[in-house]
Amino acid sequence: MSKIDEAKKLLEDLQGRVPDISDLAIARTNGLVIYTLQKVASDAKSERMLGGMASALFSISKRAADELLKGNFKNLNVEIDKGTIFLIFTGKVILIALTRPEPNLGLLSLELEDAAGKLNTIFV
Amino acid sequence: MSLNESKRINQLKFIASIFSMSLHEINEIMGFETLTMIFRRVGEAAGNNVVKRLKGKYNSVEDFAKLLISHVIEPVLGGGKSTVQVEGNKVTINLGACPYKNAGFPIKNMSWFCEYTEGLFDSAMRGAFPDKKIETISGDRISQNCATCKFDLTCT
Repeated sequence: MSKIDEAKKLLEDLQGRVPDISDLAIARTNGLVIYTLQKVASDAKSERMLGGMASALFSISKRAADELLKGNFKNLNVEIDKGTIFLIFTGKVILIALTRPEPNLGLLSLELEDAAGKLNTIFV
Repeated sequence: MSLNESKRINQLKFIASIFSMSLHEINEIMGFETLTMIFRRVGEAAGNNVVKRLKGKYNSVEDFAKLLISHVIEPVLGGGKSTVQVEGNKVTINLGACPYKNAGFPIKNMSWFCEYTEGLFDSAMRGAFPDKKIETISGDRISQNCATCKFDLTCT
């Protein structure tokens, strides 16, 4: 099984377990999207935007973690009236999750952290 | 035009094109406010450098404002395109041209360039007169279809 196939299966299983998730994507820190479930990023332009924004959010969050708390970035949670954006850095890639409004945050963060750990073994 | 000059112009056009495309991408991904923040900070850094360059050459706010025009603005805009008026503790700088507009940038959609100029004036005045309270208000802007850019710097 290729790395992309493994990642695809992981994301599909994750979405199946957590119905609050409306979309999932994996991107490199430079904004290149590796894989997306293709709901928000339904065409090349929106996929490029998703990757770019994930990279920018990750970069600023990482700088803020380092500059303001002398810590390491773990994840970012942006609450929006129409849902939530989760960003988790696996150490190699960024896992991006978009949710429906008022998701179960406990279940979400647990499942996303677990998936991030698995992604880390896929994209070594 | 010599071959070297032509080559140099092509190099500069290439760099300007990359710069413009980079701004477009930053605006699209990170948004307008990010660019205003970046240009404000770049302007402030430039203002601090101006203070170092002009150190010891002025005795009053009026002297400094005139030096700003002659050493910073006129080399970019050309002579006679800018004025400085001093009324009491208020310095008004009027710029009759926009270097970005002249360079072909659609300034109405790229008004983050204005933040550079405002940041430059503001930090230069603060750096030049650290004991005074400086307030900078930019009213008219060429990017908003005004005939001139107007900066009011109040020094108390």
